[in-house]
Amino acid sequence: MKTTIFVQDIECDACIKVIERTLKKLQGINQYTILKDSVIIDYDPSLIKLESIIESISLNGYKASTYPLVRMSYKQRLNDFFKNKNKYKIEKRMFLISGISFVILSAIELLLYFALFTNNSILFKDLWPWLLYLNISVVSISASIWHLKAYKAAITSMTGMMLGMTLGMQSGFMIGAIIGATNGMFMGSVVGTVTGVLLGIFAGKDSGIMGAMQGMMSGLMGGTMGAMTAVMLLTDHLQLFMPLFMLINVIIMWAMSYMTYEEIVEDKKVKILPADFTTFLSYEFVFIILIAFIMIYGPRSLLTVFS
Amino acid sequence: MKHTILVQGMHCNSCCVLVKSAVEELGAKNVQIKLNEKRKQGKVILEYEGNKSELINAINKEGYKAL
Repeated sequence: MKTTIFVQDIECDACIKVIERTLKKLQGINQYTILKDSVIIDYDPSLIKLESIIESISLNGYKASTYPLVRMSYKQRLNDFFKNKNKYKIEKRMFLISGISFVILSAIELLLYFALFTNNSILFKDLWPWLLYLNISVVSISASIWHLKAYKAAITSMTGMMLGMTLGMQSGFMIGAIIGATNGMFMGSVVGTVTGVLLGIFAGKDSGIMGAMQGMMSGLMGGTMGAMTAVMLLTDHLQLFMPLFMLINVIIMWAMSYMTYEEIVEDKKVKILPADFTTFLSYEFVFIILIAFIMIYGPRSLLTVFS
Repeated sequence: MKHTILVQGMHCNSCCVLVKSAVEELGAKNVQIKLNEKRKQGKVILEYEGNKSELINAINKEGYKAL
C-alpha cells in the first residue's frame, strides 16, 4: 500500500539518513522515497501498521503525520493556553506586565495631566483621548517586543520578515496616526516613520538583512500612512474612527505574539531570557514621555484636533 | 574510559542522532552530545573501552570531521 507521510522538519542530508535508517530497520516496508518535506512509502499492511511507522519516525524527534501540517486550531490553542500552566508562562507574564504597566503609566499621566494643564482649556479638553491611545499603543507594542525578545532562537528569513513588517508597520501606523492628529502631517510622518523604522529593524534584524529591510520599509509605510489617515480624517469623524483603529491594531499586536509562539517557540529548542519588569516599564515610560512631550510642545501645523 | 571528541560539520539534531548511533554501534556508553549550532560543531562525551581513533574513524565514516 502506498502512502505519504508528511515530515515537516526534514532539513538536511543528516535528517534523510536518519529517516532512511529508521525505515530500513522496520519490517514490511517494500519501498520508500524521501522528499523535502515528506516520505512516500510502500508498505505491507499485514506486516506493519501505518501508526507504528509514524511513531518510529517521530521517536527521532521529527514531526511526522499523515496530514501536511501539524498545527493547532484556535480553539485547541485556547484550551491549551488555559490548561498548560508551564508551557505558556512567558505569554501569561506578558499579559500581566502589560496590564500592570498600563495602569501605572496611566496613573502617572493622570497626575501630570491635572498638574500641568488645568489652566490650558484647549489642551485639557482635547488632549486626553490621544494620551490614552498613546498609552494603549506603547503598552501593546512594547509587550510584543518584550515577548519576542524573551526568546533566543534561530529564525528563518520568512519569520523575520513577518516580524519586522508587523512591528514596523504597526508601531509606525499607531504612533504616526496619534502624532498626525495632534501635530499635523509633518510631525506625524517624521515621528511615526522614525519609530516604525527603528522598531522594524529591531524586530527583523534577528533573521539578517532581509528582516531588517522589511522592517525599515514597513516603518516608512506605516509612519507616513498613519499620519495621512489621521490628517485626512480630521474633518470627518476621526474621534469615532480611532477606537476601531486602536482595537484592530491591538489585536494585530496580540496576533504577532501568537505567531511568534507558533512559529518560533513551540516544539523547538529556544532559550528563555525575559527582561525584568523594571527595564520593561522604564523603556515604556521614557518613550511615552518623549512622545507626549512632542505632542504637547512640538511644532504644530494649522490643521490638528486642537484647531 | 571517558573520551571527549570535537566533531565539526554538525548542525542539527539529526546529526546528533547519526553520530550517537555511530559510536553506540562500536559499544560506547553514556553518550552525551553538546551541539553548537552557530559554529556547526558538536562536543561528544562518552565512555568507551577501546582506542579513540576507532571512534574518530566511525564518526568520519558518517561524513563528519572528528578531531
